Amino acid sequence: MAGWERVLADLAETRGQALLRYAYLLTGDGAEAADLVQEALLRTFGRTTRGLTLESAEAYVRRAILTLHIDGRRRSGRWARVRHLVATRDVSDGPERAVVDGADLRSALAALSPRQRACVVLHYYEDLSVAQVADVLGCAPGAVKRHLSDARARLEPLLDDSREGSR
Amino acid sequence: MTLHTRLDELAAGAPDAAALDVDALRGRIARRRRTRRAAAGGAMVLTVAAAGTAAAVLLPRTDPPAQPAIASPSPVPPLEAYPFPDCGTPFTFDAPVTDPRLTMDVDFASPAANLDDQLGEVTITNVSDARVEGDVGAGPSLIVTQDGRVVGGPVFIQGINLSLDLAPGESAAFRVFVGHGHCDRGSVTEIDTQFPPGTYDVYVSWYLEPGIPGRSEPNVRLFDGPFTIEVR
Repeated sequence: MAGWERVLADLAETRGQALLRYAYLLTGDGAEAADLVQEALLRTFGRTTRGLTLESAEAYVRRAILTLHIDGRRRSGRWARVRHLVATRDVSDGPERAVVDGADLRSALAALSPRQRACVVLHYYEDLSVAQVADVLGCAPGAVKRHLSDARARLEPLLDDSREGSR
Repeated sequence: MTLHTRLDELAAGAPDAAALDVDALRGRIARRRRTRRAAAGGAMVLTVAAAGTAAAVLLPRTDPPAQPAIASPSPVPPLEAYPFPDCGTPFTFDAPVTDPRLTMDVDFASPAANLDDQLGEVTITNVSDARVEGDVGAGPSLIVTQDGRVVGGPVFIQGINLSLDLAPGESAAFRVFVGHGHCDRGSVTEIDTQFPPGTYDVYVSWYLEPGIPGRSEPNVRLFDGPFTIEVR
């Protein structure tokens, strides 16, 4: 078995579930998450670069997952078309405030833009700081704060503790 | 309940790790890696052509005949330990150098416009029952002879390190990307890789430096020839 195959096997066995969870939070769909992880693995290991370790491979795969998710050509058009199907709004609260079913975090996440959702997952699930999220996404920290603020406005009604802030 | 906790609960709905079809993925990755290597080889042809006057090392044509000088713009020594006979020295090599893991098939065209990447392909096949992986430098190189004497050899090698990754039974084809020159051509200021018209006997050398982590294996060296090529 070649070196890259061993790393691939180890990564899939030991970190596969974590990668799928990460992708699942980004996509909200199990099959799409599996496709996303597999495509990210293909991109990472399909390169002829040598010397991949388990740690570096996971970092590459995570970045590839995010890149694929954010890639507007792959996703944004579809997201825009289906957004109205998965999100609900309370018109009495005005257009700036999304009212979400307290039990339906999935729908609330689906109502976020891909970049907002990525910020939420990276910051609140992966525990990255705002600066780290900005670095990963290649944008300014201010943009991340704005995305998180917008996202929180939609998600806070779901939370018992809405005082969770940005770090 | 914090958002982190809620997200963690939601993530529990992710598919099981079995959803990753690693076996199928392994095949797709192997194909992609082979495709990328082939693409890298194609790109190198252009690089070699562009670097003909800029980089590289010149074939001395002083008297007495000197050994072809080899250098690389980057620290890639793909031809170390290769038998570089001096220009003009007798050279015959009757028995090919083989290896139990890999075979080399040379498919060169004759007549040919020059002794370069348009010659044809050198195909390496893994005949072992284990995967063979490693670095192959810039690929095959030639010793060029006429009437039993060396008249040409490598004159420059691009700083490109091709890789090999072959499952049992798989093959990979390489072109002659190493630049070769005639002993009587070239100068200290420019490279001339065009061989004069004539009939040449060429010998092909190819090597592999195994690169599987944690496994210590000897280098593979393959050598075969002569192949008679008419340059027009």
